[in-house]
Amino acid sequence: MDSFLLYKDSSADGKRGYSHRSDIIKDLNLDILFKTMAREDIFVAEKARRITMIPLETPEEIRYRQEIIKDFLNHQDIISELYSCAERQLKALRQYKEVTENNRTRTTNRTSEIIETLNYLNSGQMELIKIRDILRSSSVFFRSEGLKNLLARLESAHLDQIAERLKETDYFITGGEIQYTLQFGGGLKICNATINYFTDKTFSKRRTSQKGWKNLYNKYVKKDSISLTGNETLRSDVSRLSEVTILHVLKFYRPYLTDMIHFFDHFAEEIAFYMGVIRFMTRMDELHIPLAMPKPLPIGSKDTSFVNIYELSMAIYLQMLPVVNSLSFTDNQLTIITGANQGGKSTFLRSYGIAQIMMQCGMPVPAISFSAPIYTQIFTHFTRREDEQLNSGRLREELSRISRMIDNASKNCLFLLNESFASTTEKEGSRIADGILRAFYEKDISTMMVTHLFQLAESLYNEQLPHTTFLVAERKDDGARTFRMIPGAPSSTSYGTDLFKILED
Amino acid sequence: MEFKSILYADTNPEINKIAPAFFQDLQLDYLLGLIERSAKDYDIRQYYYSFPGSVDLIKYRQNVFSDLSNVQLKTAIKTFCLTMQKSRAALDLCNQSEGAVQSASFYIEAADLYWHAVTSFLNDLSECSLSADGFTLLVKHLEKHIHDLREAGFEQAILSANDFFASKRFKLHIDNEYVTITEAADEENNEEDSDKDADLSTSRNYLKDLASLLSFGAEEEDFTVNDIFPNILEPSYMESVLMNTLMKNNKALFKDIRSFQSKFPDYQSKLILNFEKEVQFYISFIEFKEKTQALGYPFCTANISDTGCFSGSDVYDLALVWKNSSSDYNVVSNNFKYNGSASFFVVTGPNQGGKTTFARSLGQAVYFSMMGLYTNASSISLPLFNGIMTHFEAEEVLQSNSGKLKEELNRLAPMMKQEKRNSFVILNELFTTATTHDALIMGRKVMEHFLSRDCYGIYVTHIQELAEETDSIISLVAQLEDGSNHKRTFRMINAKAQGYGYSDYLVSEFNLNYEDIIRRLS
Repeated sequence: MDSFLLYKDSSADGKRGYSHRSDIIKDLNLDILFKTMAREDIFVAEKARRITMIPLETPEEIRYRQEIIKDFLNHQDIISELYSCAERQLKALRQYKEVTENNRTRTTNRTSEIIETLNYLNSGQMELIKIRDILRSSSVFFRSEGLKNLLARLESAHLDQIAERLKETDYFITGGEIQYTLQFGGGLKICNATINYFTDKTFSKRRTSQKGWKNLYNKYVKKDSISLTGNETLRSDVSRLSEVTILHVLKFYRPYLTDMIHFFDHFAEEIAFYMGVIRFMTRMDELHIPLAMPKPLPIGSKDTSFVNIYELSMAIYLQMLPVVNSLSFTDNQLTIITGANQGGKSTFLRSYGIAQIMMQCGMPVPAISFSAPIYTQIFTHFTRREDEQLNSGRLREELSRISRMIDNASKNCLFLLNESFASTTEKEGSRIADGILRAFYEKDISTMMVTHLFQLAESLYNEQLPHTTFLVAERKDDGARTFRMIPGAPSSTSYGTDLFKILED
Repeated sequence: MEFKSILYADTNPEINKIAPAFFQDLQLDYLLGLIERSAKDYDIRQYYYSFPGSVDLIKYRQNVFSDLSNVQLKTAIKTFCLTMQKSRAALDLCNQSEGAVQSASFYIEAADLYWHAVTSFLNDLSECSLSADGFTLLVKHLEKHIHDLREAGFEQAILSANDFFASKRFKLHIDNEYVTITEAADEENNEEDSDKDADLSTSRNYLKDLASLLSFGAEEEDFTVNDIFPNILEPSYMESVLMNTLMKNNKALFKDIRSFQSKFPDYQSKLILNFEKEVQFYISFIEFKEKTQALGYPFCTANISDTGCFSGSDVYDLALVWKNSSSDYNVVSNNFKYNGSASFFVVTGPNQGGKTTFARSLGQAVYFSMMGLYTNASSISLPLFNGIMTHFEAEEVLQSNSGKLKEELNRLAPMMKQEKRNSFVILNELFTTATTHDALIMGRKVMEHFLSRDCYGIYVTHIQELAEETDSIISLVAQLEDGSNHKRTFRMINAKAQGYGYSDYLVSEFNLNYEDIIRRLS
């Protein structure tokens, strides 16, 4: 059994993440998002980071999560209760693993391992029942396939019956009675022992009263019974038999235990992710900053449009809505953004990148509306301003970085380039970028590039390549920047000329 | 012809007890280590140390392999061997245990397992279509053996002696005060003892119920508990106590089982015991072959030609495959073709270009073909060789140059003095410490020596003059691969003094030219 809250029929295990996660997180300032989702909760932080960095691949997959998010948003008490279950179980599991790890090297402590295993099984079973009951209590309100199916699976898992069986294993801890049917095999050794039943004391008493006369007959007339009283050798053999028996019984529970551990591992991860999403949404709600459930388009589509997209990390940091952009690209594969420094180009690129990443993990995005294709991989290649300098070491680093990305790239992925190849002369940089952009274009890779390489932008513009959009950072005639991107021819205006104007005044 | 051996038919070959000299050079010792893992309970090493030596025997083995491609047959053999192992284990216990009743019971168990092994094996074999002589003769032998035993009353004796163990079931009840043992009542017939409460009945199998509740896919044998008291030589205290209690209450219980051993002191067939060991040679190699194929490398059955034709396609170094099996390193394979008579390949080319690997892969191919095993190639045709001789550079580097040359000659001398004809010879980097002039003369002489004795061979060298082609010398040159950027290419790029200079160089280094990227993204 599995919880399947992230994917319809699998967990996030083994799913292919973005190959250059740490670049993405750094370039898009995603740590701020993770912090908002986590609120000091390390586990949520870890899972938020992990799950956001694994892109979904179809609109159905994205809608699957969107639906679950809506259900949880409408029933926040449920997600909190489920998260408590997950936390409790994580703790129990950690404790159990610790004990079993510690005992692995020692053979003497087998008994305590058995007891721990039984305890863990019992508590895990109770937790499964609890989760089922929580879901049951509000099941009528659920709209999402994910939660409905999870409840259905829990309902049909014989949870109560298994709990009852697990209770009987108390025999091995507190004593009681047990009955086997067995044979004597080669060497007159006991073999083929079938366990008929075992039970703890309470049950035994009831039975004795019914069968009392027969037990007495066996013990005293037929002499079939051997007393354990005072016979320590026999008692120790009985313990041995009992231990072999419970180990054998545990063998049957072992796959169930593994399943249970998997279930809780996955469940905890999934619930932690949704917990993070709900916390994030709550926070944005508190700040009165809007979020939108995006509309994903299938892989291969080339239409993107959004209204009032904003840069999320800035919004969270400033606790207000920053500059917004609204644009629409149809059948577009290459976007070149040019314009003056400090014009909001990088911010815009980041806002778009963040929204795209968030959409692809099923989350709401920072905009009023957002619709975009799904990409198989997303790469960010940002110039790291702090150590920008013109030397071959920088260029080598940049080239080797993008080369590693190309190793992982294929059709229908997205590159966000921010002033790439600026660490050499404009002539050389333009030449390098030109080769790369054309190859991407040819191979159906989408690219959005912020660049100062005017030579590059101008030659691409003059060529009037189809499926290509040119944006410039809007700049009023008086030199004032609006930080909005508008379609337009590549601009050669730079910070320098503005500076020059200021000097003239 | 009567069945004698699945490895040697009815011949009596000389069997080497130690690995041949070429084993290490061809890394066959390493490969044998991998192969014998599948035959963990048997010692199959020395089967690998001698060539069968005749075309007939090579074909005898190839035919056995061909039959074994039938999974049903392979499974039948594995089952047979497993049961035979159990039988042997029981016999060991019989010899070691002290109590007479106990020893006798082990003896019966061993006989029972043996009978079960041979009869079900024959049964299984009759359901496979067999064409190899090795197997059809084995079937005849098995039929006769089983027939003889049955005539002697073996089967009947086992059945009746075994009855005691098979039919009696006991009920063991334990509570906090008493252990109670009784003969389990026959549920249907005994109204009085049958429990009204189905939960407490002796016919209830708790584990079976649990398995269905947990959807646990258990085997039938999992539903019973065994090996409770692990010392099998001696009943535990509890077992003795229970046994005594039972004997006290039913004295006739153990009468039948003690006479069996004196009636059948020696019932096993030596040839069948031998078959069980020898067949591991095949089974383990097939498993090795399948694992190698799963890594993406082919095997073929060698064609032993009498025309001197020697050629193959896709030969590869098996040792290299396995040493890199955990990475996705792709081992290169090669095609080759000798002239139709004794001749040498002389391989030249840059370092690390795969020369030695090629030589080794060829040596392995000859070895596996001559053993009657599957060959590490997609096809191969070769003459019958009497042996393999190899001379690889010793790893000793501390010696002085003259010392090294001497050491090389010392190892070479016995190979040449043997005067063996029809061998396959691998010479790897001979005379590297001699001057080129001397090395050339010596190298030619060595090749002439082997060629005049109808040997085929391969000579890896740096000396290009040695590769001058003649009727019996074929020159091969190792090519460095010019592949994608995952592989080391040794292509040199000149940074131009003018023009784009260093950035151009970098773009090429990282394969970031337009054409490069197009290729990488394809």
